[in-house]
Amino acid sequence: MSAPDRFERIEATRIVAVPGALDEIEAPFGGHLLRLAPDDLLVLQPQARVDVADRYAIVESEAGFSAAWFDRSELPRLQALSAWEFPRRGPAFAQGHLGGIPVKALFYESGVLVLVPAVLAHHLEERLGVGDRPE
Amino acid sequence: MITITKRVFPPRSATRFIRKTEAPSFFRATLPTCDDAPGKVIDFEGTQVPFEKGDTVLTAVLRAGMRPWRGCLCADGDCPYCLITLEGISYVRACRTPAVEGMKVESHPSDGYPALPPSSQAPTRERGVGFEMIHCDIVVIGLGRSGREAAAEAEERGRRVVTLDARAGREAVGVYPGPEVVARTRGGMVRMFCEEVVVATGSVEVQPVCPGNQLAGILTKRAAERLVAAGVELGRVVSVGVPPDGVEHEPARGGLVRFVGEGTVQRVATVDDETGAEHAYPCDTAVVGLGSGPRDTLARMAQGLPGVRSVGSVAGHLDRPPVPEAGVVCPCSEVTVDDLRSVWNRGFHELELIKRSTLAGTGACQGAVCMPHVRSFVAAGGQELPPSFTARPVVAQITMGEAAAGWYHHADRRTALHDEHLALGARMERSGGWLRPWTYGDADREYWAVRSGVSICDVSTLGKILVSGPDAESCLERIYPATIAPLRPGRAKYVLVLDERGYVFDDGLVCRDDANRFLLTATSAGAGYFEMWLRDWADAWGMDVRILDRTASWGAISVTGPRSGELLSRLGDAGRLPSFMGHTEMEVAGVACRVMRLSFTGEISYELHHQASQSRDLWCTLMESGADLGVWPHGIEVLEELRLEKGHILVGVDSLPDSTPRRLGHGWAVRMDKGDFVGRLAVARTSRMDLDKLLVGLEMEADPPRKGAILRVKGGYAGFVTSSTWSRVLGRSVMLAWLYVRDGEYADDVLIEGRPARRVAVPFYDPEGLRVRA
Repeated sequence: MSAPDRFERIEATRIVAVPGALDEIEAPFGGHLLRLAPDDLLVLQPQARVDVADRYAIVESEAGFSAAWFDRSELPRLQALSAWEFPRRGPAFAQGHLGGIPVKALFYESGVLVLVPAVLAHHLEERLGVGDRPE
Repeated sequence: MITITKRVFPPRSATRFIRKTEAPSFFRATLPTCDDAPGKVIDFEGTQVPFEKGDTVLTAVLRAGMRPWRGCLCADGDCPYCLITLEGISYVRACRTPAVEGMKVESHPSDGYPALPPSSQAPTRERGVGFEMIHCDIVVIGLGRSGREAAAEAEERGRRVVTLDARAGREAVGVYPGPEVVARTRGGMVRMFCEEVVVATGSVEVQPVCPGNQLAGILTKRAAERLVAAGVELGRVVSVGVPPDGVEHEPARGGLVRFVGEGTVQRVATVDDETGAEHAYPCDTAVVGLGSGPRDTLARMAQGLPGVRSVGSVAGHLDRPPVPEAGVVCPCSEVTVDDLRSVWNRGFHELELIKRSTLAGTGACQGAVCMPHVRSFVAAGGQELPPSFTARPVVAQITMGEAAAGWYHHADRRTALHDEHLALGARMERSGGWLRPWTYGDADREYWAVRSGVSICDVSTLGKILVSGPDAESCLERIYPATIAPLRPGRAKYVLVLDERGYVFDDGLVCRDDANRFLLTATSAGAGYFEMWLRDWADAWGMDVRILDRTASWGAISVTGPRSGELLSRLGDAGRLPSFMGHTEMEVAGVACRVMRLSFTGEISYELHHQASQSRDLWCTLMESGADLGVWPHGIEVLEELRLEKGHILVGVDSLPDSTPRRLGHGWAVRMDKGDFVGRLAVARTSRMDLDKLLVGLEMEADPPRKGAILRVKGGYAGFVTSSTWSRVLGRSVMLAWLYVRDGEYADDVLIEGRPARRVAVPFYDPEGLRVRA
């Protein structure tokens, strides 16, 4: 099935630290690093064990995002709801609005992983026609 | 009421506009597509009008021998004469509307405005306007020769080209910085984002201005050519100026003087330029070829925008017509040549002033008909003509549904406990940008669970912001008017947030974790702004801090009531529960929580902050474990009643945009003996001024007045109520209200809605705070 049933809340790790410290972090095995801002990193792995060279860094479990996977065949439909152009090649990471909702998107050759603040996931599901939950 | 919604799925058809190197057949679509089965009809004002393949409504109606439209028809979307009401939607051009079986069409009334559509035709989710966004390299607007050449050239270079042509049902209505083009298509509205826009919209024909120019049966040269090619019989045709190609006609000699007829043109009068002799030409149709000018509204809209260029006729110049002598200049606003002379004689000599004083050029055709003539008129008066006006979006009449297409209603956030609230029968309401449970259906039960037992409340919406770094303490000292340095780890403090003018715009808690790390809370509605504001100041001061907003990531459940401690002791280490205004990290029901002991309800309260992914487990465990204690959740309806009994303010409800801490009675939350903080100078200044109003507590025996109810003292205005409730525990109404100084004093007794109320100290309930500290 190309379109997901619905967005699911994910467990990840959030790190806020000085940019230089985040630059040095390597992705843990099986995890992905998403640089949300120069001082803000999202590790797609729950309770990721990473060394952060900043004694004041904030390292927190992150349960604030929901995610869904869309196959490549779904990309045109998603693109039609986006004022920013999707990367033409993956892997690539992008942030912007989709259907008027702020999202983070991890593009691969085979599709895209869309992350949305969990508190807004129901709106994005409705706007993308995901699942059957009325808004 | 008109409801504006949008369609969930965009029309996939629009993606077909993107071409790379497909066959050029796309360009050939110069006429709208339509039903082509023989024998089909449209309903034109009750008459069944047959149509043929390729017909527009204009073509079909004229072919049927009807002449419902007065004025010189252009058949190209420029003039305002063929406007129709189509299926209840007015200001639709018949020349741009393909005939479709069964469509109901009416022409606009000649003596007024068309009626608004009935509410039954308002857009709905099911009948909304489609919407899509497209990304490409180049957008070419107009598919005349220049447009086709530009598109072909771009395609040869491998660029992704989107082409628009109004005659093919893809009409650009706006060009914006970016560049970005917005178009109306048959599938809905489309926003196109590109690197380059080529405007190739061609030219617009000059319309005749003379007596009789509002008669039916007058056509521009190109309109006549198109209509004859489509098989429309024009009868006896007389042409003025450049003759039409492919149209049998009698050319009229000399310049145009007037059209003559009753309703429909019957004769064309011209004057010989050399002899001055006037000639009359009987006719059924008059065709005028008076030259053309650039169809440059979109080009003028895009003036100065990088990435936008004009090609072909649109970049050309206007064949300025002769100075008009008489007749209607602007049919949209019914401006005559006499009107132009009138405003001229009153001193309006500039083009812009003439436009504004007569409204010429502000109607449905946006100056396509009148502006060449107005420019000639101004030039004849010796005035220097300014460049053409910058045009503003949109260039064509669009419906409210089309204007709203692609725009979404405000997104309300939901907490992780949304489904639990619904399962408990909650009525959800919007509050501070969130959907929150207003009540679970039994306010009495909710209230007394708090006051005499134990209750839980979803307070996940509260702002929660972590601040860490070597400058964290000094940053917060400058942010807040309260002292932060004395706050020990594990303790919390109530704080106001002031803007630079010393006005309160938020409040919350500062919780200290260690020497360099804090958790800040903010109001549900104000959290987003507060976070930006905090970051701005930290950046401005060059503070070495890290800031992370946890509002959407952490859930928070308030456990409140005299038996709250008893409930929590069943689910965790009771010995670790913090004292009043303390906080600690501990497990509750196996869920890692930051437990904060504070109170908004006036009873012992613990807030359990935790990962939102575990909210549901924690909530359900609290409900199950507290069943024998009578635990029951309360919604914000009861929460507002509880907090009001304690006299707690709600910033944004009880406060005003100019509320200083002193006016709110919160002067105690400001320490002027500390260092600088945001708003300090303003607080120092306003502190030297007399208080002109004060937020006070009032009570009355009768039912509570409405929020906003007026306070009167000696018959005069003395303020208004901001919050009010009937207190179940006190047996009287309590309220907060702004009370103004009258005769140099604050009255103790006021009238509200004609009923007496008296000023009392707050809190109304448990003024010593014994219950929250128990």
